[in-house]
Amino acid sequence: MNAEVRPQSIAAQLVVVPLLLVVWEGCVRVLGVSADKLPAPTVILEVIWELRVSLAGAVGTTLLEAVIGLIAGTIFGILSGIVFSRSRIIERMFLPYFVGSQAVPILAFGAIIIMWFGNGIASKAVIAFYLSFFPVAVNTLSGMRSVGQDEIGLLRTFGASSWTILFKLQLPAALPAILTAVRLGASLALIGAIVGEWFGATQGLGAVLLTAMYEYRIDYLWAGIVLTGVTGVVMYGAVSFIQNRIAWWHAEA
Amino acid sequence: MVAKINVKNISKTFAAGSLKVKALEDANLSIKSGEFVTLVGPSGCGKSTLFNILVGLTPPDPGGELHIDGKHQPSDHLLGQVAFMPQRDMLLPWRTVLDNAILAAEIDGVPKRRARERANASIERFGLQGFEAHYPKQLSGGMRQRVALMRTFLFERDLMLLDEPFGALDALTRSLMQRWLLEVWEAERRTVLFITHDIDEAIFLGDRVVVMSARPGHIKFEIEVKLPRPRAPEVVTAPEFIELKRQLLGIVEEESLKAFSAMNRPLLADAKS
Amino acid sequence: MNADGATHTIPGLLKNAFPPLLAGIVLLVAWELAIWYFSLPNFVLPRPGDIVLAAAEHPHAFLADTGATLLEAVTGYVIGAVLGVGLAVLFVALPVFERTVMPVYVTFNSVPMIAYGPLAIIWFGIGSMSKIVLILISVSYIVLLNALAGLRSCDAGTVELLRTFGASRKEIFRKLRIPSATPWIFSGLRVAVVQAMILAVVLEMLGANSGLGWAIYRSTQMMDFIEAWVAVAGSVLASLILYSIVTVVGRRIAWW
Repeated sequence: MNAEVRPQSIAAQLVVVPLLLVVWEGCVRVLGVSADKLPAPTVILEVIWELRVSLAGAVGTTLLEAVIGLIAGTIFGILSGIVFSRSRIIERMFLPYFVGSQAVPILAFGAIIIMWFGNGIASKAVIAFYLSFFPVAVNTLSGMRSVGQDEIGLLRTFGASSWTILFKLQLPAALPAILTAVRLGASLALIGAIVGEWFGATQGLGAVLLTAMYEYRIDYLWAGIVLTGVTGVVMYGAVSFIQNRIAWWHAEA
Repeated sequence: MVAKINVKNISKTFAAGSLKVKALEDANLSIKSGEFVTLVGPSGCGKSTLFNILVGLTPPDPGGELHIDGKHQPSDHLLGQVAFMPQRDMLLPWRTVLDNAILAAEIDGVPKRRARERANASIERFGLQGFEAHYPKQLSGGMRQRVALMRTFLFERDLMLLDEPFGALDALTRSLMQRWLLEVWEAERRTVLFITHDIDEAIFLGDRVVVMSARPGHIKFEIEVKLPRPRAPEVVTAPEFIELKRQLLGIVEEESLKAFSAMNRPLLADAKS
Repeated sequence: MNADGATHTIPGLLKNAFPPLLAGIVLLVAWELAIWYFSLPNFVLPRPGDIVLAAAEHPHAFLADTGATLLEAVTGYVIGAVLGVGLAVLFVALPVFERTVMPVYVTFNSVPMIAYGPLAIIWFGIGSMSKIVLILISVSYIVLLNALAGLRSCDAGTVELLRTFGASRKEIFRKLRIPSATPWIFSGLRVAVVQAMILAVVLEMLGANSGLGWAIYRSTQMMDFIEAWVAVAGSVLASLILYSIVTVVGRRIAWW
């Protein structure tokens, strides 16, 4: 049971948040808060605009790492989920380890992942993969299982083979749950990419945040935070969009 | 003798946007103290709406009046005055059978200890001995309904409204439960209004059967059931029973057909089901 | 909630534990074999035995680091959990607060919490405070969402039924909404405890002077990979233990 934000909240956000930004801007100006404690929103926007080229590159790099990892994780997750749903033995042997793998703070392994996979995009994508495959596997499994024996039996009376049942009944039934997991995986993949960059990278949003921290540039740091947020929302929104297009018959698994 | 409950010209209109649905129109009903009245009608005729009004969950349209014990009752005073049992048992899964049974009394202000004592005293009558510490998950459908009935009975009110309590049970369990309900009721003879869509059940249980019309609902027909009490199970084949059934069937079918053809005209409430 | 077969009897427990244990043994054996066969150097993947030995060599440092991280995680977690539930109750009781505060919360949390790490370190330094603050916010958000959903999950029919008993809003809240919400809250608490540990370790790697994350970072800087693995193993164990505690407590309190 994982709760999701209610749609009315999004409308409310569109009202309250601009209001908050105005208050923020006002407070900084009126109280004369120094730019190296808390910059005003306008200052942050200026920085983003000035450095838009390099920042766009950073967003692109991180996005690439996260998306590659997410796609790989999704594919692996779906395949694992299918295998688990087929064979109870395999499920009982390996699912606990899938679960355990998530209790392991992969992000703690970050340094070691860099050692294994180098400093480039691959290592970050691996972390993104590691974080996203599990929710997809679990939801694929439960989604496949949501189809009862009765429905499967009915299709068999129509002469359907196991593959037909898989592709025409079980996978479509699992699709809403799978995509919900991919949505979660998208957030996790982004986190994985950013933290991965902290372990070793010269490009990407994680690198931006780190550099800003070492150089004590709060305005640059906030630019990084804002862009990270935007990237996350865009990824999440993209998956939601896909979900609404191809698996619209369930709001939530 | 002053009627226990007097329903005068109760109407209820639901509005959704530009669409208006008249669920009840000038319903009139009078029930004597200690009477067991059964209410039959086709689906969607407004039986449950009437109950919601009687219990205080919904106000009637202006113009209608409700009198209990001769006194006019404004709608907002009704909550907590009537013992209500809805169609689903709605037992709380985290409470034992005993604690579920005392829920209404507990909210009413009865101290938990006393409420539990009272519940324990009735446990046998409700056929739940040995199950006091069980949880709803562990009970069969019939037993859950009995817990819900116990909860309703332990709420010390003269007036009880039961909304198709046996609807979800299979036919065998249902006839057992009907006989058992009459036994329990005989002990205290509270005033009961009982909704059912089963004519046999209506005749078997009631002192009087009231038929509601199709939407907009009003009382179309009433008939007294002069069969002796306590009701023996064989009474369902007695000639008097069959005669009552014959009369009621005709009327109920007529209203059911009206409701059925009304379904072909899309109306907001119908479209939902 | 799922119940995976009878785990409340010893034979049942063993039966359920057998397949994963078997797989675990297979994995450990494969681990040792892989190292031996591929002659894997230490920094890629040390032998499990070596890790245990290294930990045993200087237990004090290991325990101190584990303790520091646990302190951050648990402090942030407890405060965050209380805050999350409190806010949920407030929002349900007084919807005006939800309409004003929630959008801000949601927007703030749409940025992954770790991205605030560098900011927290600049504002609060590299001590525990920066970690606790972020963990607190992250945990409270997760718990808030779950608690809100849980408080609203009871069906309308039951609420109405209680109203016919004459129950006040407060009574309905106490007797119905809060018990209904408890399984949801624990679901959120389970997710949140894992998040708390991860955040603690990662933020320490960013900047700290104690703790498992800091130990991992320091060890890899000094190329002492066995030490790094010791710290990693420590964080894994700590996570598992915390998660188990929350799960077990959850099963007792919200057993239905």
